Amino acid sequence: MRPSPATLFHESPLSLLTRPWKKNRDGTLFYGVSKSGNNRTPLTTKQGNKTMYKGTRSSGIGRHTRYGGYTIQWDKVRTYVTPKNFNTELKPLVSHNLPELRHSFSGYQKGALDSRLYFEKLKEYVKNGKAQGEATDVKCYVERG
Amino acid sequence: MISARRSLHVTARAWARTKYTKPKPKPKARLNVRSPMQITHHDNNLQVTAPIPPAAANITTPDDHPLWQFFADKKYLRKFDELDVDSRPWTIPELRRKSFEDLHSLWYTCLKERNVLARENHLLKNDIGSNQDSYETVSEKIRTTMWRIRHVLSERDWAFKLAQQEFGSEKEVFLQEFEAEFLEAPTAEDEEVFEKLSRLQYSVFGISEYIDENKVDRAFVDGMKYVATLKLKKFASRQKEVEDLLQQSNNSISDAGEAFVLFTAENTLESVNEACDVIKELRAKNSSVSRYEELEIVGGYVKQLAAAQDEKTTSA
Amino acid sequence: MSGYQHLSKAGSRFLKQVERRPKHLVDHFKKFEEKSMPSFLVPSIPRVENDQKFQSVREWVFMPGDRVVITRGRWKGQISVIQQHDKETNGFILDENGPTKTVPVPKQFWSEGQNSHMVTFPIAVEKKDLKLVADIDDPAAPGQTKTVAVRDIVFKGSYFDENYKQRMPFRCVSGQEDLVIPWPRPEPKADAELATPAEVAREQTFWVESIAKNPIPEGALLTVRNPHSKWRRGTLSARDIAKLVAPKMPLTKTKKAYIAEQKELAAAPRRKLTSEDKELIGSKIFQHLKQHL
Repeated sequence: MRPSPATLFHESPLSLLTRPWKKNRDGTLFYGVSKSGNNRTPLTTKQGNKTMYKGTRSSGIGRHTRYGGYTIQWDKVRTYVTPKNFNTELKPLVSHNLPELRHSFSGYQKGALDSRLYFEKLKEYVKNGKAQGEATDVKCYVERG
Repeated sequence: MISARRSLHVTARAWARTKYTKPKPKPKARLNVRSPMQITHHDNNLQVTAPIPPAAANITTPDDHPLWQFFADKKYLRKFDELDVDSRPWTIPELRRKSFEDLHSLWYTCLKERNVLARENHLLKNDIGSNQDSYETVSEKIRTTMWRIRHVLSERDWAFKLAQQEFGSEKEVFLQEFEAEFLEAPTAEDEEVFEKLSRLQYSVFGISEYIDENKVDRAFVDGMKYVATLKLKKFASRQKEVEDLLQQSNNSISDAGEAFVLFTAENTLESVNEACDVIKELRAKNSSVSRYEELEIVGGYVKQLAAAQDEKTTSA
Repeated sequence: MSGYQHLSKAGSRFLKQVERRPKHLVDHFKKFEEKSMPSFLVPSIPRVENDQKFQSVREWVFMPGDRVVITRGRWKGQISVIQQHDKETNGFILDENGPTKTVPVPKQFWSEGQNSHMVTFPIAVEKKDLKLVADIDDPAAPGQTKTVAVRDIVFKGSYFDENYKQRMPFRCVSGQEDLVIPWPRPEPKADAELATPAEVAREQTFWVESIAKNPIPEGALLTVRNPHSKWRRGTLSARDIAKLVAPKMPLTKTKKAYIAEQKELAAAPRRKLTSEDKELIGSKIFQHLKQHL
C-alpha cells in the first residue's frame, strides 16, 4: 500500500486524535494540557454577569436626551473614506515568484528620510516626469531608495 | 327587564345633543385617491396553498447582497488547501513605489480579506471546534502588509517635512540650475521644456496645472512671478519687443498683475507677444498691484479664470 | 470558556506564563503528550522549541529536491531524495526510499480508498544522519561523472538565485572549496489567489512631485500616526531649556584666586633645559652610580 502523503499529518481529523484521556469531574472530556488553570485573566467584553459592562470604546457618539431620545453628534461618528479610483488589481499579498525588493541608500546618511535624496528625486521628476523606475522590471531586486 | 339606567343613559345623551354635538356627516368620497404603495393581503384575499417546508433552499439571497463581502467565493468555509499559503506580504520598498490612492485601495482590500479570514477562523474555532490557526497565519501576513502601508505613509510624510525644512537654502541653487537648462534648450525642444516648467512650478511652488485646484498664497504668487520672468527670458532672444520689455523691467517681473498676464499666456511666441502688449498698456495706464493686496487680487483673478473655464467646458 | 478568546488579547500575558512550562515539568509533559497521542502522530525525532526551529537556508543545508544518503540506523546507505522539511522537528522527510513506519490507524480516521488498518508513513530524519550526494567530474575517467557523498559542507559568498528568488550562499565542499554543489531547483508554482501579479506589484505609481504640497492628504495623517501617542517625545523650546538648566553658581574668592594663579603660571615663560642644567644632572647621576655600583 502506498504511504499517505506527508502533508496529511496536519489535517484536522488527525489532530482530533490528540485528545488527552483525562476527564473533568462531571465526566466530560478534558481537552487542555493542564487541569490547574489560571483564572486571573482580565475579563473580556463577553464575560461577566448582567451588571458587568465592558465596552469596546466604540460607542458614545452622542447624548441621551431628557425624554429618552438620543441625539447623535455627527463629528463623533466614525467615517470611513474610501478612495475615489479604487484600484482593484492590488491584492493583499504578493506573488511568491517575485523577488523581494530591497532599497539601498548608499551615500544618503538618513536613508529614506534623507533630504538630499528627496531633492535628488525632485530633480529627477522635473527632468523626466512620471517615468517608470528601475524596479518596474520584475527581475530587479535592488533599487536606489 | 329594561334597566332604568340604560334608558336614562340614552335619553340623557339625546337631551344633551345640540347642533354642535351631532356627529359630523361623512365626507364625500374623494375621486383622486392614490392606490396604496404596498398591497397587503386581507382576510378576503387569503388563499390556501401547500405548506412551505422551512429549508435553506427556500431562502434566496441576491447575488449582490453586501454581506457576501464577508465570504470568499460565497463559500461557508474554505478548505485548508484552498488557502493561499505561498504568497508573501508586500515589502516596504515595494510599497514605497505606490501612490497614496493605491495604498489606500490596498488597505481596504486587505481589510476586507481579513474580515473574511476572521469569520472563517471564528467558525473553525466555534463551529468545528478545531484549534488550528491556518486562517490566522494568512491573516497575520496581511496584517504585516497593513502596518507596512502605514509605515510607508508615515515615512513619506516625515521625509517631506524634513526636506521642506531644509529646502530654504537649496531653493536658489535648484532654481538657478533649472533656469540655465531651460534657457539653453533649443527652439525645437520647446514643448518638452515647457512641460518641465509646468512640473517645476508644481514641485517648488505647488502651482497645479489645473487652475481651479490652486489656493492662492505667497508661494503661488512668488511662483507666478518666477514663471513669468522665465517665459520672458525664454522668448527675449527671439523677439526684439520682448527683450525690450525684459530690460525695462530689470530682468524680472515684480508686479503681480503683469505676472498673471504672462503666466496665463500660452507658451508660444505670439501669445507672449500679446501679453507683452497688454503689459505695456498696463504700464502706460500706470496701473499696478500693490504688494500688500497681491494675494487678494490674484485670488480674484484665479477665481474668474476658473469660472470662465468652467463655462467653456459646460457649453462644450 | 467563551468562544471569543481568539478575538481579544485580554489575558494573553497570563496565557504566556502558562505556555512557558517550568523546566522540571518539561519531561513530565512530554511523557504525557506521548501517552495521549496516537502512535502514528508521535514524531520519530523530538520536537523542537520555537526558538530552536530552523529559519534560513544556511541552517537547513539540504533543500527539498536534494539527494542524500542516510548514514545511521536501519536505512544506513540508502540514497533518497528530500521531499520536504519537517518544521516541527527540524527534520527531513524523504521519498519512498527513506525510512518509514507502519502503524495502525483507527477506522474513523481512514482516508478515502483505504482498506487496511495498517498505514505506512514516512518518518523524519535528523540533519546529522544525512550526507549530501552529488555528481562530480571523475578525475580518473575524464568526461564522465561519479556519484559521491559530501562529508561536510561550508557556505561561501552569496549570489542571487533565479529559482529561489532570493540571495543564496554558494554551497561548497569543505576542504575543496572550488567545488560548488548547486541548490536543487524548486518546483515552479503558479500564483495563488491572494497574490498580486508581479507586473502590477512592481508598477511605479508614486513620484516625489512637490516640496510645497504634502503627498498625503491632511485628513489621512491622523489615521497613519497618532499625534498624541504617549511614546512621542515632545520638543523642548528655548524657554523650557532655560527653566530646566540650573544657573551657574558664582565663584568663591578662593576659587577665583586659584584660577588667577593658574593663569599666571600658564602665562609665565617655560624654563628650558640649558646645557649647564644637563651637565649638572649628568654629574649627579654619575656620582650616584659611582657610589652604588
